[in-house]
Amino acid sequence: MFISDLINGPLVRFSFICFFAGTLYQVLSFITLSKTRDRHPARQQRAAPERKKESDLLDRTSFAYRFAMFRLTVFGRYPVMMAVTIIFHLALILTPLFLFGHNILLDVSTGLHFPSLPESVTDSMTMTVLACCLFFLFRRLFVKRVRAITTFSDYMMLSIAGAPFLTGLLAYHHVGHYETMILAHMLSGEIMIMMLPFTKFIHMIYFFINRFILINQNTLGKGGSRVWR
Amino acid sequence: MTTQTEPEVDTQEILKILDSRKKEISVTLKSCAHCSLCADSCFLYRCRKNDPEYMPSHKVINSIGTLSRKKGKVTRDELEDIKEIVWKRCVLCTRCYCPLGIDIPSMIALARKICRSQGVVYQYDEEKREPQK
Ligand code: HEM
Ligand code: HEM
Ligand code: SF4
Ligand code: SF4
Repeated sequence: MFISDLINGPLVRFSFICFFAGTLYQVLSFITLSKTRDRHPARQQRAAPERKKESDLLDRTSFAYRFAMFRLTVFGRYPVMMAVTIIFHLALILTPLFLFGHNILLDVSTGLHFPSLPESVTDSMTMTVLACCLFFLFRRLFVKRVRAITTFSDYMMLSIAGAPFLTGLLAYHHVGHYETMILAHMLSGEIMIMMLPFTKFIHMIYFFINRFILINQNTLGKGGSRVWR
Repeated sequence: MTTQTEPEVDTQEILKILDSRKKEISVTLKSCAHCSLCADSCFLYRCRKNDPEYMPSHKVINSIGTLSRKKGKVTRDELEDIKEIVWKRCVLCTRCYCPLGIDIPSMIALARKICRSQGVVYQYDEEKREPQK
């Protein structure tokens, strides 16, 4: 069948080319559109003046103080959401990489492969991703502040991220017609890979640019080195 | 008697400002996951009884987001609405925190610049004092 031949071979290669070329394009266009900025000369020269330590009323090493500070971070304010999003992203990225079925295909086509996790483990990771997707969906539907900024594209993003996991799970458990399910799985996976550098999934690239390279009030690490323009 | 007509909005001027920071704007709007984790970091959001309109991302989406989606073709009324958002609902204190590192204040400041280019400016002396809700 023509369509299945397309999905089986050329489209896989095309989607990976799209992903790597698109990522390269995004990184290069960021580099050309931004410039390095040194720290302000006054700040560079002057070392922080020695301050006489005043005795502190607060015991800043106490658990109570540290816990109070922790409560102010995004992890402290939205603990459930942060836990779910970390589990979601870890499983989302690790599952396809260390999946036995994928590694076989990778070995056949390139001769290289990643180590594989036991299939029972990846199977539960797949279900975890789907459960997290459901959590995000319900949050979008029922939490007022999330609904206020939700657009159609957010539902699309959730479905595109969830589709390869749903179809992969169904195919693995041979629910429905296997051949069709695997085709649907490959197609949805290819669509997701192709879209990564161009759609809302661009946050995968810009998370690192925003938080480690661009200078702003929330830059992590050494405080960043570049600014826009 | 002459009726006072409102000056036209200079779309070209707005477009020029938008284009000068095109990639930055498109990346900001695209990479925002609409997750609302920035909500609690804005003191105005918390002072206003968690009104979603005070959420940092809501303010960016409805100011710079609107301007860039409409490619600068906004009416004066829409600019007045944006004025309310970028002056009354944000004080540019730069305390907002987005896990994805989106620089919200810089986008709000840009929206203010666009408003100013059209003579739409917040007049504090005309402010009607309303009781705090
Ligand atoms: C691009 C082409 C892709 C191909 C050719 C492909 C192929 C396959 C194959 C052959 C299986 C094994 C099914 C079985 O054991 O019977 C599988 C399972 C799976 N795939 Fe993919 N896949 C692709 C992309 C993706 C992507 C992008 C993701 C996720 C981001 C993904 C996630 C999964 C998962 C989670 C399973 C296993 C489900 C389970 O064990 O419960 N796949 N895939
Ligand atoms: C290493 C890279 C990544 C980082 C650091 C990252 C970080 C984030 C953060 C901070 C959020 C906002 C919190 C949330 O809504 O869960 C988010 C949301 C999201 N991310 Fe990622 N992400 C990465 C990669 C990916 C990839 C590869 C995908 C999909 C293929 C993805 C799909 C999503 C989705 C669907 C949401 C929205 C969840 C919702 O509807 O609330 N992310 N990401
Ligand atoms: S600005 Fe950041 S924290 Fe706020 S909704 Fe967008 S991605 Fe989430
Ligand atoms: S800069 Fe504006 S949006 Fe950010 S915390 Fe301050 S008032 Fe809120």
